[in-house]
Amino acid sequence: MPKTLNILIMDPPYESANTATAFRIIAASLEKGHHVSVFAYEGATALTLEGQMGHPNPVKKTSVEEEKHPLSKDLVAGLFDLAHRNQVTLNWINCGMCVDERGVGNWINGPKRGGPPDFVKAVSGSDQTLVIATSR
Amino acid sequence: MQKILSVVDTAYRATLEEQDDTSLWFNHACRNAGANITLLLTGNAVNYAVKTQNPRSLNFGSGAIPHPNKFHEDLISFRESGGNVLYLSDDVEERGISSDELIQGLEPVKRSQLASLVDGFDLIWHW
Repeated sequence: MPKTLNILIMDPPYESANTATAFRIIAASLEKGHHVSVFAYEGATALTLEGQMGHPNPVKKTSVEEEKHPLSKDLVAGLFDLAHRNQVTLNWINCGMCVDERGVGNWINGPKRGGPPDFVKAVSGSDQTLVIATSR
Repeated sequence: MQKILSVVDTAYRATLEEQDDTSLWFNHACRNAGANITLLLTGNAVNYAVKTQNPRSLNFGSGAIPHPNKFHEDLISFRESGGNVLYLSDDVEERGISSDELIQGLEPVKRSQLASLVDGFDLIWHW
């Protein structure tokens, strides 16, 4: 019986291990056939930015192509793919006001704009809620 | 609606440029949307309850932060909306804050009471 996990994330990309941890939890839930709701709050709204680009690594002397720098937008797109393949729902909401104050409104396909009332609805409609806040 | 204990531990996180505490704000917004939330202030966040806070506006050249947040007023507003606010009394004492420096109406909780407190809620959020 599929369950629904509701998860709030807050860290911006490339700043904290919280992001990878959240992605692991989301992926594991989708792989096991569960639905997931994500509320991206504050800096986490930048995870899905369309304009993210890879870069070379001058220390390792690798080119852009060799480096294949992971982009959080691609990882989120991968989560949407995973949900589609497993015929479960990934509902990703970017906090609208957080988006506006950062000017980060150009997203990949998939996320929707929302606010705290959407999170409250997701709390009611899920089996468990996990808040992963920026700790410092 | 589930009973939610929302533990606010990290304080002063980008509060100047936000003119808000993002976790207090979010919890209040969720409460306004119908969530049954009790706040528990721990760690440095216990300072949010000090009633004499008076942060000044800041200017950086032509840039300004005109309305720095007054956190104790946020807590009063949260209570007026029907929300309950608790604080960890051990963390208040460790910081040399006396209880009469805090706004009225908040309930102290001892660290030794935390486990039984948590037991009374359906969901625990940690900020």
